[in-house]
Amino acid sequence: MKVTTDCWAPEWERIEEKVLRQHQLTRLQETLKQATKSPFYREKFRQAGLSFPKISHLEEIQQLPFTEKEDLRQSYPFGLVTVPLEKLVRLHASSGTTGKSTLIFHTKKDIDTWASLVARCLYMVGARPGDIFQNMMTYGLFTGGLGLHYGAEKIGLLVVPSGSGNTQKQIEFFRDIGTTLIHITPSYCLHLAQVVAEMELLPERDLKLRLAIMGAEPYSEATRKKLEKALNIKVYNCYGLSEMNGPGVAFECPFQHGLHLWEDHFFPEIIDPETGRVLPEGEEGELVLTTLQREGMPLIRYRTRDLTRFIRGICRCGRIHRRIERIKGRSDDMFIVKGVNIFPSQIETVLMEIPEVDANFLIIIDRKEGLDLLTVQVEIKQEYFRGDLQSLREIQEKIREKLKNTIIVNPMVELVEPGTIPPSTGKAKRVIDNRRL
Amino acid sequence: MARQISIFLENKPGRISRITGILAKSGINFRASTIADSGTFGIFKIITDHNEKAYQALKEAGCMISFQEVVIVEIPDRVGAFHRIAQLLEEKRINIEDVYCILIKRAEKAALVLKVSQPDQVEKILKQKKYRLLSEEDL
Repeated sequence: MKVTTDCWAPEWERIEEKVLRQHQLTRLQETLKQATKSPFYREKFRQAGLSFPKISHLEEIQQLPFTEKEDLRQSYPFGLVTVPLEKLVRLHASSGTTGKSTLIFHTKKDIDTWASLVARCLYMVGARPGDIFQNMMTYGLFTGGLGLHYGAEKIGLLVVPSGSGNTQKQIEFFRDIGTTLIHITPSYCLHLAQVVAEMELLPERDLKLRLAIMGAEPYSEATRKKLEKALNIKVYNCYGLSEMNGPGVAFECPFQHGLHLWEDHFFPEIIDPETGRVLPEGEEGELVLTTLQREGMPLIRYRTRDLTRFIRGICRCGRIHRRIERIKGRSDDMFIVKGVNIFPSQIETVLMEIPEVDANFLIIIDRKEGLDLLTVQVEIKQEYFRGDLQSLREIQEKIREKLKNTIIVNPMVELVEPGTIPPSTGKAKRVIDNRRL
Repeated sequence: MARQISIFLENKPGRISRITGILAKSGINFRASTIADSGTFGIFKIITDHNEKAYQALKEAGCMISFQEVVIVEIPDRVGAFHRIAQLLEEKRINIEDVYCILIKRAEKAALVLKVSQPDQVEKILKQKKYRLLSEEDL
């Protein structure tokens, strides 16, 4: 089938099925060889009884053990690195389930490969030199900022690294320089649309926006439609995770029927999160990814905890890279606030280290004027109640500060009366999410 | 030394009536009360005719409570009486952390409940000036 839309990397995007599978097998063999250079995988394979894993068919990957987020935490900081330090040029990090962050290291080649993948995504949906690209994602350890930045520069877009926040200023740029393309989280975009309306701007008259790349948080088709209407733009869904570089793992083509997962760079499997068995094509389960091109820190059968399914058949755009459905949810209890991944266990770890705080806590997420609001409710131990407001405020402030240091997002801390929060025994719900995304 | 009971409360409907309900059921009468609030929560400070009994009843109901020592001083129900106390403590550089006033109409008297960090010193100062100090039972 002929690829009907423009390609940034035609040799890879127009690749034939048979050639792709052969390429995957070769790359997988290379990746396994590379992975064995890390202390972590040497030990992992040894424990699985494989001194050196040999693979002659793609299906044999199913005999290899999974890699979990916890493995990355346990091997913190360098345990999965396969090259000498002088070959590494970049570090990104995401939140760990408790305490330590998950670190991902890249070589120069890895950064370039990632940028090429992002360029492929942006080019596919029509970004071209002459476009002005305002990257409204947090820059820094988070991959949303720099990841898209390098890819956009590779195509030759004019990149405005505005980061997130300061909405009035962002809109001032839209008007003054004529931004055509934005990268933004859905929650921030809802807020943006609201501010645009409050400023009495008409997108079709006052702005030149035409495309939005939206990811980092799950959102519904209804939210997409709402934002497309409010800002007079086309919204494309983007999927990625820092463990797999970041954004650019899978992306919608102009036909918008699922996200093409770049199979020349990642080998995808969908498994039953309970049994770990690979599911028949089309069934919903957890996405497991293996890097096929990464040099500095290859990951084998990494459990993303994201729930999705493969869409059967070949896309009308002609690309044979398999499509996944938009992410349905998580097979763990992670949640996303303001684009930041948070685990309840991270919050629990912080709270348990504060002597004044009693065992029970509750996390409440709301959306106010388009912005995410994270509230943590805690009970104070009776012996720390001195009967005055001042000491309670100090405790409240201490909890807020310590939480912010760990989860990055600034939470509201509410002190509640003893016995208000259901005890943590059994299946008590720790997170109440009141948002409609 | 007189004492008040401080009760931690969330700032939402029904929280005070829970406390007043517990006390009413235990046959305890209020003598004085005030509230300090800080957004989503506050502290309900009360003096009752049976503080010890009130403390036990609230404790059994699972409330977060604590006794606080306070100075209760009797003053005449007249213009400037409150001011004289405030002035006296100012002269001694003593900070009043919290204060509320109770009127005892029949006796044409009033009382101030003072929360300070050095209650013993304040009681001494007030006694020197011939003020009468009250206990919870005197209210």
